[in-house]
Amino acid sequence: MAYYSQIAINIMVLITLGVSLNLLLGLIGRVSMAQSILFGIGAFTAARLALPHRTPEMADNVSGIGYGLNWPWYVAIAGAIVVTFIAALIISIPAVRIIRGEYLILLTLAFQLGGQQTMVVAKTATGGAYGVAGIPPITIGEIDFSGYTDLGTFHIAIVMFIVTLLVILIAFGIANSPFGRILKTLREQDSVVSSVGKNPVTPELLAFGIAAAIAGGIGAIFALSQGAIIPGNFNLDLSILIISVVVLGGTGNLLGTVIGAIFLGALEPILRSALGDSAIPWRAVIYGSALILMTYLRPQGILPEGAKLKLRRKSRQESIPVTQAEAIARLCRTKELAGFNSDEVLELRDLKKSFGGLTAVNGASFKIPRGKITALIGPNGAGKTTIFNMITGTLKPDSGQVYLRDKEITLLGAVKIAQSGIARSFQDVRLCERLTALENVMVAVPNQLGENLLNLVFKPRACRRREKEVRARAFECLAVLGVADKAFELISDLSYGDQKLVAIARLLATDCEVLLLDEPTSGVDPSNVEGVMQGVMKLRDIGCTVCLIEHSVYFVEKLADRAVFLDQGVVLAEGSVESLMNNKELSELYFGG
Amino acid sequence: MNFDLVAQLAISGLVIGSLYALLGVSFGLVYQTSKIFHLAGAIPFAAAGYAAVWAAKSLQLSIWLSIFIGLAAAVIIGVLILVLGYFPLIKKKATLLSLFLISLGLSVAFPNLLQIVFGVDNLPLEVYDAEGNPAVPFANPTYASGFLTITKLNIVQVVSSWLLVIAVLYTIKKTALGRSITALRTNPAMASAVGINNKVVYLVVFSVSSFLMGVAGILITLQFVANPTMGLQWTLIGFIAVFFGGITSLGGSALGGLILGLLSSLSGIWLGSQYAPIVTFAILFLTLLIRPQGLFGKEAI
Amino acid sequence: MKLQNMKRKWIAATLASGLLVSAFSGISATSANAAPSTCINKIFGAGGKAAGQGVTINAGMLLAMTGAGSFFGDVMSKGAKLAAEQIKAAGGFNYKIQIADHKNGDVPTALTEVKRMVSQGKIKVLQTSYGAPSEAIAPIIAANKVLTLNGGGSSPGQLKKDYLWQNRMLFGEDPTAGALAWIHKKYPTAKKLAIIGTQENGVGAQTTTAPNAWKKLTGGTIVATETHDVGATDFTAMASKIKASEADAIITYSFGNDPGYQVKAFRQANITAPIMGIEFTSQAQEVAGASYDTFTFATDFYNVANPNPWNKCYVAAFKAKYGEDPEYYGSNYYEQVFIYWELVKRVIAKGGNPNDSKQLQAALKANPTFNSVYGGDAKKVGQASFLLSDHSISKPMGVFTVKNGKPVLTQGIVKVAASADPNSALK
Repeated sequence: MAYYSQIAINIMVLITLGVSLNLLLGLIGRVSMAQSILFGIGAFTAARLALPHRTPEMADNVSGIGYGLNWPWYVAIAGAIVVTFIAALIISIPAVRIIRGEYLILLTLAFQLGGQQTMVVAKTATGGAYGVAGIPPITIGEIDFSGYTDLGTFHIAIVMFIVTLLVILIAFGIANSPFGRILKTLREQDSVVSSVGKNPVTPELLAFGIAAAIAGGIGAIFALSQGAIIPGNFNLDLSILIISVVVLGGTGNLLGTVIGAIFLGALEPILRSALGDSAIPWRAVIYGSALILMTYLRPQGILPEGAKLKLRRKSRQESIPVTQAEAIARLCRTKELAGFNSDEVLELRDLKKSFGGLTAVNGASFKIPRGKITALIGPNGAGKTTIFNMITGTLKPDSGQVYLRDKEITLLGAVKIAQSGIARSFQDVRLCERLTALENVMVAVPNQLGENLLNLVFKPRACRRREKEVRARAFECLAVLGVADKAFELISDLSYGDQKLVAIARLLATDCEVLLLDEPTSGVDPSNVEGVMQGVMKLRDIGCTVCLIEHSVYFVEKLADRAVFLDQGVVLAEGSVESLMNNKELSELYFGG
Repeated sequence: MNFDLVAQLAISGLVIGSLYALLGVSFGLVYQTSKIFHLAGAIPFAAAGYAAVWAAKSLQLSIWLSIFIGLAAAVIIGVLILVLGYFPLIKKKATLLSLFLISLGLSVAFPNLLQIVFGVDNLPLEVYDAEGNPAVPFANPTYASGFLTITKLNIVQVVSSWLLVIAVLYTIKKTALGRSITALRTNPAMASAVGINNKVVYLVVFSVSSFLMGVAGILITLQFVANPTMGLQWTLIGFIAVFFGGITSLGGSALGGLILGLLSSLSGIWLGSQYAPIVTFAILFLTLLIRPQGLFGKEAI
Repeated sequence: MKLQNMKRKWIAATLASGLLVSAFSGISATSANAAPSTCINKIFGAGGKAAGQGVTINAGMLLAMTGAGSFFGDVMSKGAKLAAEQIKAAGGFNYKIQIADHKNGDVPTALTEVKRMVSQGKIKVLQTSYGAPSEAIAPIIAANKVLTLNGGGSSPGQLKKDYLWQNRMLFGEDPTAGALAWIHKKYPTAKKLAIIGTQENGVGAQTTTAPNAWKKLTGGTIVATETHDVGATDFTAMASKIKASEADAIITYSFGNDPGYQVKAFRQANITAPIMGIEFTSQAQEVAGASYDTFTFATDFYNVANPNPWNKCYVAAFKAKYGEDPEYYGSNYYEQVFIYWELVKRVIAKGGNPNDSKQLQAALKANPTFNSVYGGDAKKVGQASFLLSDHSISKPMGVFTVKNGKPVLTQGIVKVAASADPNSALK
């Protein structure tokens, strides 16, 4: 029994570590090679906290015997969780938002390799290569939790089972919370989060911290149940095994991780009993081959993330709760806005920006009127997108100011500017392909309680209530643009025109007053252009101020109330669309060139 | 400070760093074109050593023929890994992490296969005379100048590594094939649009990379012995060198390897051998924080 | 002769690579040529019921079967398997071996595997190896009463543990005084010593025993202390530092392949100081090549040429079965099986249950002296005794010098107390 219990424990350790990595790899798409060392930091922290005080019999040079603070097991586990959480923050604070993709792999790899070497060298902390032994087991009443006896091992397996369920539950909760939605958006469209006015740094840091804390907590249980640990337990091989579990199971799918861990964790014992002693090196060969074979058979993982989504979409064939007319009525804000006396919402004063020797914008000044559609037109390279980037704070102007309703916002930074009421779309739609249209829009709704982890823990009910409202709001935004029927479709399944509309709905969901649209019809099928145009007009109907960059003359004529003509970073003319169209010089510049 | 010691450590660092540079370029080639974490690069490394030992021992071939067979084995097995291992998955549009799993599976299985076939013993690369007496193939004298020493094999390692590194860099820069590789690296979609055959480029890249791995494997076998796990540590170092130098530049990968070698050796001035890796990884960590694109990487991210 | 053997091996290897499928059965193929039982009976008495015939003991081995240390697992299992065959053929007990792989010292794997062998395999005795895994499993074997012997990787942390006994001398610790005394005798002017080792084995010897003994012997100094990772191969930087320290003598506590890489790097860096080790394997010899011919080492080293009659019988059987000379580690695990056999015989003689590890350990404690392939002479089998106080063993030790790739006994040494004059370690 001890053996099967032990195998079960090993598999559950693998499951929990896999789930912890899946929070990073699955939710934000960041690969960490350091899960193993974090697991180890938790294990050694717990060991040092739980080991008994030093006694005179403990000779210094006797390896393997440790001493510590003699704290109870639960304090040791809690301590391990806190320490690993902090350790993860220490590595991620300088790295977050700077280091991406493959370089993050290298950074975590350096942490892993440097860390495992430090564990060997730091003898006073870890006992050196021989580690520490004699770690006291968990004690609850008279129950035996010693890893050295049959019954104790079985009891540990039960504890691990509960812990595993708990970890999966936490991960599931995070993945399906508004917090998790932000992480998924970070994974697929890094720039979007700040453009809808949300702080992308804290969620990413927290995700690293939580993933580490889970690994650390499991490390603590591992240490308490094993009684002896050595630095060699926490090597790179384990990190690679954890990554294999997640990738083999299917990135972003918790159930997949469980299956992946069972597959890889049970394969060895099965091979052992099937092949016997004589073929020990063969086991490794077959193990490697099985890994290859599984990857061939299921290159997207045993259960890809999509598999889960398909199930969910089927189960949620609900009717659309709101019609277009109702939605427009609900979102209309012309009345509230009537109170403002100034007609000009946004004002640019003498904005300048050059890249190297190239001047992109050279003293642009213009105003954007409230409740109207203003088009920025001009030839390629006129500096239109650069102006958008400066307004939204993704680029810092060399000089000049931007005023939103007479308040300067020039240097507030992307997140603050979006929060103060300016949102933009991008030429490419920048939607999260693996999320539904509804989820894409929900990300943008402001003031979501559930984006704060503390609220999720301490005010779960309020979070759920707010989540309902957020959902309703997202539906309304989709309905205004006429794509509410696509709410449960994955973005990858939508036509490009519909994607553009979802992207505009996402802007609308930010509650921003000024919406900047970067070429809303570019790349859209001619048959769908009309739909996009209708959508933009609906924005004006409900009282939004729209500024758009557009090349299609037809579109500008049909839609825009005003136009600003730019060339080589300077405003050449502004006024009604007709007046500009009738200006011969301009039309030559624009169309004739 | 003892200048003799510093100079000697610099020489050691140069020798090991040159091998790292060779591995860096080998790894960088594969990574730049395919983005695969080619952990299985350890396989051509070990295959070259084993094939050469086998040729010398069982076939009683001369040392040069044995080395040739070793290098041929490295290239063949490297290409086989690509064709049988990676191509089918690339065709299925698998993610890069899935390709990594293939690589991982291969590098778990292969050393054990070597152990099964050739046994657990360390195998020196020796030549045999008609009576079957083993002999060292090349004399490896130590050259000394005062305190400083270097062996002939060390010189061979440095020279051959850099000759190969320069040859590869030159080819990439000057030939049509090299330009295809660059094109594929910078814009794969565009490259296939203008008619560059991805498959051919991949085949060439893996052949060259495996050849370089094979050379490293032979050099190490000549210096010491062949054993089943010989390639694994080296592959990891090649991987680090690539990123340390910056993935956008092959020359950077080579220099990254060299600096890595010098760092690990020169840190011995102040610290014991066990601390060398900690220093190396700490510097790597800090470098990344200051220059996230790697030491010689061009574009900011 | 050597080539023929080699060729046979290589042709077999080539065939195996072609017939991977059939290799499954090929690996476990055993030689039909069983060991000559007569010499075993001569030494250990006649077979039969009193000798345990008909009694089956389930035995476990916890070894490094894969990874960098698989050489050790290979030779250890060879020794034990040969012993089991010889004993059965001589009418002794049936020693049924299960082998578990601790993957070159991985502790969680070792724990899982021992639990498997205890609960599934019902093992009564265990032959373990390596330091860290053996320390970690100590509480399990004590809780489940599995009489365990360790013949490779004995460390101070394994001492005084119930059911755990060491049948090799403590790694590094025990031969240190003799090793340094020998250096002092051979190179009386040597004053500056460099100490090299790992953090895995012989730590106390590196930090305390060796410096103290060296000061007592020579009044000299320790000019360099270098530790490195197990399995390191590049020792050029270390060579530079040792050279710069101008050491007159070097003692290395590295093991496995590592001393081979070290000695080669040191000699290539023109370091001429004598290098003393505390282990020798043919594998390190392969790595170092000719540069190992200046290497000396001090240990309870197994001597193939020992004329002790049991050893002659053992070497002949080993060669017949495996086509090569037995190794040091293989011999320790070979001896272990005979120790278990002896214990079973004693328990049977007392009318006890030979499958009860408690009774086996009691029999060991009652008389801790056993026959050994170490020591003895042409007429007499050697003897080795466990120390009841700490469960370690006392075996003949010596300083050996490598000549043409083979170790030659140069000087017998004995273990001495830390407080004693190290010179008294020289026999």
